[in-house]
Amino acid sequence: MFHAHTEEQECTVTKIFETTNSKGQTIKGARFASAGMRAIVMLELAQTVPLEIYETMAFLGRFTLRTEGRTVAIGKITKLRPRRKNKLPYRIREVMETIIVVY
Amino acid sequence: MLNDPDSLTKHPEVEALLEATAADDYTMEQEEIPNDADAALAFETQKISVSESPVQDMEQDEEDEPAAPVVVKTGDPREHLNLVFIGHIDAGKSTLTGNILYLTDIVDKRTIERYEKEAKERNRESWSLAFIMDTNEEERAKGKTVEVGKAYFETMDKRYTILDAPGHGIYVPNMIQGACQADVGLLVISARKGEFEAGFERGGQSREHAMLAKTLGVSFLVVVVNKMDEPTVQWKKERFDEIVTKLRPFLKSCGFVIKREVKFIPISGFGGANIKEEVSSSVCPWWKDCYTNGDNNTTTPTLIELLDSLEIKGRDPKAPLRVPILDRCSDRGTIAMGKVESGILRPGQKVIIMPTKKKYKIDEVWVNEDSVDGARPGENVLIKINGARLEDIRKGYVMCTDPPCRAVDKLICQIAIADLPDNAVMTAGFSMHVPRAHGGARVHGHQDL
Repeated sequence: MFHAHTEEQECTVTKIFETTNSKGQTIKGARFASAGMRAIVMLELAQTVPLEIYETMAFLGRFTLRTEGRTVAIGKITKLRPRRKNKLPYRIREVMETIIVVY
Repeated sequence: MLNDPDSLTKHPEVEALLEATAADDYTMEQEEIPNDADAALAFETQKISVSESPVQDMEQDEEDEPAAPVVVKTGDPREHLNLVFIGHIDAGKSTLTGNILYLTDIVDKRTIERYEKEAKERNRESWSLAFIMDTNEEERAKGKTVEVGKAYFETMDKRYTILDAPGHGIYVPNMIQGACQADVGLLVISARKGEFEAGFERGGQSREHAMLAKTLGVSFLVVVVNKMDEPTVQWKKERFDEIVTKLRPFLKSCGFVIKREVKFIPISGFGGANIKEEVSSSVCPWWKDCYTNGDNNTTTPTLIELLDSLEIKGRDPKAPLRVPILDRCSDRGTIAMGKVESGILRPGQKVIIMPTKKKYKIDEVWVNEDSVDGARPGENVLIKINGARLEDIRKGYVMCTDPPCRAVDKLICQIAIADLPDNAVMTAGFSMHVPRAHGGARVHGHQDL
């Protein structure tokens, strides 16, 4: 479970970017992370959750990961997907893709 | 072409689609009420000076009345702090909170006597103070807290809300909910021989709670070394020092800056020494030297003085409003419960609920059951929301003003891995689910009856 402020949500680690072990050695593109390590990962949540980046608003950017009754990891959010500039909802983009195929 | 959506608007089909969805697009009107008190005042006087200029010769008295400064009644001017009591099971969290309430005259002597009698009937005299916090039957029968207890007390300088978290391992989700509201964590450690060790070794809740407290955002951690009056401890300096030296490296690894954020204090939760009144020097001769020298980061003799001396930073009343919602209920309209994290919440304000992006108006705001004109960061509030149905508000939603916070389902983050189940490793695809007693079921086929 992903716990942040008052929210809890199911989540999955979708990608691991890099890990740092307790000696300070950093491995980029690591395949796995084990207990005691620090890691930069991408998480995917089951539903959308109101959040912020840790630097801009700390209380909305901190979270805890728990499973099977224990705390697996603690973390802070470093990056979110950029705000959509063209303001097009996702479904419109899908439609656009099909239009492109047609043209 | 996908990267340049503007070029697409040339096509009529796309334009039609865009127009059809334009209503869904979210735009926020200019906030009518300025966010902070000073701006509100300036805004108000500016409005008046504009209206006054053409009618200068009219009766001055009537014009003066609205020009009076807008007094913002934000309830009690004293600062408000949320305290969360955390620690291993049977460390004495509920007893300590009970005693604080008793010593600050929130609970009177008669009630205590009644609880004492009740505890005696159960042959557990030492639980009498815990009964103040543990109100339901199950909690009293077993002598352990299940739900996060809430209580309120005040001193000359500050107002406090106590959140008494359960210590048992299986109630950690309850504890997380309690701690996410808190500004100050009080880690209660039992000094009794064997109990400190049990709470601190792998799997002990002292460890887990301290780590959770940091990530849930407490600014200060007060390590309360409890049960100093125990026969196995007898206010010995050696025992206190031993606990402090063992905790220091661990708290540091949790991310606490020991010098600034962590305070250590020895107390007796049941006897009441060092809570409001300093322990007598005949019992504990070393404590006076300890705090006057500022050893262990503590310069105040008692717990309540220590709490009064804490200054919480990072509360910004000028930032956009953020109120994570803790719960909701229905009472002639929808009422949401939460803590103001930043910004000022006022009745009449327009807010956005994330992640649904719905806009509502605030009807009324209560702090401790008093209706107020504004709630500053740190206050626990009840909010009456105009036009919202009960289903529109849920735990985990965040109430915002412009610019609203983000609603996301993907994020990149930095994590520190503490413990993995069955010594596994974390790989891509590692998922964390709701703990369930039963597995899911799947229908494989059906039969006509």
